[in-house]
Amino acid sequence: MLIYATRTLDCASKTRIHYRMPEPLCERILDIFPEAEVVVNRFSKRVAGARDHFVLSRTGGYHIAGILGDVRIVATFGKTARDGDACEHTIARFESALCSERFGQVVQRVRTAR
Amino acid sequence: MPVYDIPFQLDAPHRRCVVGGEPMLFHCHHYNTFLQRTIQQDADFVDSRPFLVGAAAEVAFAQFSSLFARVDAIADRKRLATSLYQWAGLGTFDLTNLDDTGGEVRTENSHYAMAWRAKFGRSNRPVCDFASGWLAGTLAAIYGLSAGSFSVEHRSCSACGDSPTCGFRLTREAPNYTVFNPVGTGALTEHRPQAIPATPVDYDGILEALTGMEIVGDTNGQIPAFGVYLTRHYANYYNRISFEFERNLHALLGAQGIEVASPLLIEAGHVCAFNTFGGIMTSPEWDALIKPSLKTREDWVHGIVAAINALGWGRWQVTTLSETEAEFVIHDDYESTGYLAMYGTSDHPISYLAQGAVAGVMNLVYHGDVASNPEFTAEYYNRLFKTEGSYAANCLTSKAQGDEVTSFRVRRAVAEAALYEAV
Amino acid sequence: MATANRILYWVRLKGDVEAINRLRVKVVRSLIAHRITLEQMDATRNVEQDLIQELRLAASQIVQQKCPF
Repeated sequence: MLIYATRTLDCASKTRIHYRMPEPLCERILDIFPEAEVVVNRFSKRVAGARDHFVLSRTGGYHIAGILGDVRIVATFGKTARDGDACEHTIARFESALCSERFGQVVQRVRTAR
Repeated sequence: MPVYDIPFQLDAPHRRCVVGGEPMLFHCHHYNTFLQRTIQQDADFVDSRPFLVGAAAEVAFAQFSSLFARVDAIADRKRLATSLYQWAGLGTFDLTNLDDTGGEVRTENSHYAMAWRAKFGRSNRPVCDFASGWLAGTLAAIYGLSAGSFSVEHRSCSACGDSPTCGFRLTREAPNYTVFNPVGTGALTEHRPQAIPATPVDYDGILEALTGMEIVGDTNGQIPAFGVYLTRHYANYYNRISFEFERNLHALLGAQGIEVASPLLIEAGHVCAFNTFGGIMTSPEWDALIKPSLKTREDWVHGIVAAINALGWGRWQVTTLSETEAEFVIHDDYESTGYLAMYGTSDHPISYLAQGAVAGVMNLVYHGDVASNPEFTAEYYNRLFKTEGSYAANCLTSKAQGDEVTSFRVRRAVAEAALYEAV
Repeated sequence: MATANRILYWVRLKGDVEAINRLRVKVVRSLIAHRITLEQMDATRNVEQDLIQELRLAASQIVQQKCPF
């Protein structure tokens, strides 16, 4: 049960991590950050074959997007990479929550530069 | 996320969003800053500040003069104006200290300053011309004054790196920018969609889904989406600054002015396609909504065209399509509609953004294999637009020149001759 | 090879896709004054020193490196 994480930067130098989960995501992911604003776009009701998309966000903290029933999560953290510790703290909290909620046991990092 | 009460109208038949009579559409920070750099810094012999500021004052004054017809209290007007600015991803402002004589205002959140630093690093001159003009136009509308009632000075800019905020001073005196006559939505046509190749892509469903999404500014007045910072910007701002840039160059240099302006304005369209379309096509939203129905690369083109219809740019169609070539038809493209309303019929095609964007679509899908989920780096951009086999677009018809629609044929460019020999 | 041609080649090699178009707009007034286009600056064409100087300066700004020619 490994979660693979690829770390990069977004176009405004925020830390962005692409996670690949060991199993398709279920609605439990929506509860992972109690303080997050949660938006679920029920695309499956609009377009045949489409799946539902979610965003967990907190301004200046994180923007986590994914698809229910899929294994991919795209998470952007902090205001900028210069936020340093605060950003890393949020990442650690998110990854710890993923593990404790049994989405996966280990996070492996592969770093790439944008 | 802030809760907004913005009186926007979705004009779905024309694929537009209108707020207070002004058409507003999505563009990303890459396009915004590239276009501004072209106008303000590359052609630095053109006195661009008067129209960069004046264009923003024009759209803000027109929009809020319309919206404030039903809002009496000054405080409520200020609240609506700042809320709209933030909703659109343009940044944040607190206007409470401004009055009918002017005043000073500062912000830590200016889209252009943030975007400039993200894309180009530190600037050697202030870049918030849009915010300057927006403030001047908005303040005049708030106090029921005529357009051009305030001058505006951009006193500090965080893009320059010497201040964490952007500061502006407004003074009740003659304007230090051009005062334009606003044109609103312009004359729209009744669309007669053309036949398109068979595809499983559900155009109507995608339009409904995307226009139903809450793509709005956060508490910092930013819209981080699809890997870029989006703005729901004023169509007539883009139109005015692009066409004034071209007209100024024409006045200075004659026909050669247009010859040097047009490749850069088309290049801005490439930048837009690369970043915004590329961001959309590699996003979780794409994977959830559009990708499940895609079987072929042609479907990828249909998919992104379906998404473009939700951007407020007019009705886009791809009417013939293969790896060899494609034709795109645009009903009421915003550039032509704006040009006709501002200057009348044109003697040459002016849909520069669209021309660059359609080439960008083909390059992303066929030349750059966007389906393989590439990294959006400078190297990838150069490969898409600089290497042999890149696509380029030719304008077939132009609404700005009197045609019913604007259309383009996109083909792989003939391999460019070695204009410059190796050192 | 003529210096102008070397500068243009360097800009194309080191600059972004839009670099030549940006260079063209920066120096367009001088091109008109000298009655020459960038495309005419081939390996055999020598141009005046003031235009070379302007090309060199604009090239350095666009590529954000000192032009070596």
